[in-house]
Amino acid sequence: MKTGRSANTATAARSVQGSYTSGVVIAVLGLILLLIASPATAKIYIDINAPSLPKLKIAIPDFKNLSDKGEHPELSARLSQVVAGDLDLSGYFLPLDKESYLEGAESPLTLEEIRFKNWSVLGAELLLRGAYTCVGSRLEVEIRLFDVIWGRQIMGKRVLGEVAGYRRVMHRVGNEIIRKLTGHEGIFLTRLAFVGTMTGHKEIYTCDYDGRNLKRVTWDRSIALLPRWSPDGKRLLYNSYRDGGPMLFMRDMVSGKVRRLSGRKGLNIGAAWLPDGKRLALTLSRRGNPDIFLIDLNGKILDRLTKHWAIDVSPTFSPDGKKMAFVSSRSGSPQIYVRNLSDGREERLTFEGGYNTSPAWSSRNRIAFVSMDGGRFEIYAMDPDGTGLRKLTDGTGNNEDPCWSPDGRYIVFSSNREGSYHLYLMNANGQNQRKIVSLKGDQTAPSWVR
Amino acid sequence: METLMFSPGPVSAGEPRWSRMILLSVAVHLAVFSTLFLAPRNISYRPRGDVVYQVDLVEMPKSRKRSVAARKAKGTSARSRLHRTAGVPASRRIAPNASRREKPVVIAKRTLKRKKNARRTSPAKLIDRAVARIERKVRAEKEDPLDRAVSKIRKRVDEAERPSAGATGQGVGVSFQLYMMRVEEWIKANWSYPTAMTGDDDLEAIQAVVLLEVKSDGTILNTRFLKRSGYAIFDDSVMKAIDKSNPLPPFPPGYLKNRDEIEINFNLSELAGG
Repeated sequence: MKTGRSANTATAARSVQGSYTSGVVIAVLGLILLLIASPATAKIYIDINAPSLPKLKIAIPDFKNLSDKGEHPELSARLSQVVAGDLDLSGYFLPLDKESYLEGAESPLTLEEIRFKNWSVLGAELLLRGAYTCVGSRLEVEIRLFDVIWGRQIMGKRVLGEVAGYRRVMHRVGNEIIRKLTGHEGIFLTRLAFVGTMTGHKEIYTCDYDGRNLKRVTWDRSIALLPRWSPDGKRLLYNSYRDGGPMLFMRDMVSGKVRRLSGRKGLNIGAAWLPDGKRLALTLSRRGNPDIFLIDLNGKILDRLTKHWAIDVSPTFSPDGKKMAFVSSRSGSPQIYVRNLSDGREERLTFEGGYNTSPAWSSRNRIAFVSMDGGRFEIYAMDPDGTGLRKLTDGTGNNEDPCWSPDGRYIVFSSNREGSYHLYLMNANGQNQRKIVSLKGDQTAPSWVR
Repeated sequence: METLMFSPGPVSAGEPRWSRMILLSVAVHLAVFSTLFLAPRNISYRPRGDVVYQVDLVEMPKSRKRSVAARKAKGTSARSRLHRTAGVPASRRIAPNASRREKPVVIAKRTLKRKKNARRTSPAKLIDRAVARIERKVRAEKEDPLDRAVSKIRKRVDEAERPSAGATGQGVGVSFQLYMMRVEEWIKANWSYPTAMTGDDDLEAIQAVVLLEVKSDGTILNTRFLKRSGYAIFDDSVMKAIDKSNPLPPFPPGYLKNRDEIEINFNLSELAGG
């Protein structure tokens, strides 16, 4: 009995002790786990809300002449100049001043030989080294783009062309650099058309995107207005008073032939291409009140796009061609409206300001327009539903005629901020405004094509 | 009766009992040593903006609890403002004690339990104890105890005058805030990014978060993305900015840690809505 009891108590005690021990073990293991899983090391938190430099510094020394007899030594500086100008105008890069370079055209070309310290000390993030060979009229340019910070080659490229067309060759190089770094196409081979008054008459001209390579298109000695490139760049529409009233003409840019597309009674103005390049919209006032009509490339009316007692002008189409923005005076003042072409529904987009005109719909689905603001014309941009409004120009002279680059990343516009009207370029967000065409007289109404 | 109850046990089952004791001993040793090694990492803080916590080291044991709780509350609000709650450890998200006491009994129980645990296992206390032990040893071996104590006090007073977020984990001093500003300026000065590449819509959204491991002399030991922006050029520009900023300014004097982590949020919010 006694033994039995003591045995029982011993078992009970043992089990109590056992559970106590295991409890301790569990507690200790739990503690270890707790410590291991405890919050990591202390942290310091810092926010940096904008870069100090909103561009990439790039060094572009003169190109090395590898021609057998050293032909065309002048290209050494010119080639680097063209690509530096392109990268500068893109708004993404800041080409460094050549005067500050520690090395010139003869500096090494290859990754192994380049002394990156000599460039990083200038603050350069990128280095573009180039060499060229001239054989007769042929030009071969080889470029290498280096990442100075990490000392590696980003791209290498060889481009062939004509010595006389060296600017074009370098624009191609510039486009390749933009594509490599940003993934999208550069604008350096695009062209502009605009109205210029240097002869005393309003005539149409074309030029490269950077204002170079100027060509006169019309010789009407009358009033030529509103040039509009076809999407493929092979045709150019414009208005001219050469036959009396404002009529619509189309010039074939390959053959140079000019054809009158619409010479109806009253106005034939403000043509806009549909994205398909086969139809266009035009304001006609043959029955008294100006409305927008759809015509084909033979001038035949296909459809009537607006029907209102007010004035409807300045059509522009969405990238998918399903909607049209235009200016109408139906509310009493010129405002921008959008029309859904499939169901005919119309909606007013602008409500601020008493004067909103010149809408331009970008391939990236933004609408730029001109608004009267404090007695001056300024350029704004908004989303196609009227939201996301942003003022792009500010405070100096009038800013008018916005026209998007084919890729929708830039706007060219005319401004009289320096007295006469000249053409200016800016990024889609209004940054980096730069004068690109500055000729005698005024330059207005730009149109841009790839 | 008592002897009857307990004496037969060890005699009859001697072997298994010993192994259990050894196991217990191993576990306790493991716990103590892992505490010693892991405890220093357990102190966390979140210096933010204009909040300055003064530390009174004389009242250290009491003020610690208070300031940590206060900091937790502050830190949590600051973090939620910055949408960083996702990365906050669970323990730091716990509401202050006061609100917990008002809750049902079950939670109160948990609180009690936690307190008990904290008393038994507080890593900070274990460190203190370990440090005290080591100090005692060193004192015994080397210097004059008085000199040692005086220099120690002097050091602590210095720290109190320049409250640092170092190993004390107590709060942020002015010198430390200045340090953060210097780091921000330094990295920003080295950051180039062609902002025109980012569309208006993305200006507010684009951001990359990078974690740096930094030595006290400012050397960046390790860099990694906690969050990428999704834009290769942006991420690349951020990494270059850090690369160009290496080494950062050295930790301010009085900062007790010899390495620390810095989390940097790169974004373009300054340009948005302009």
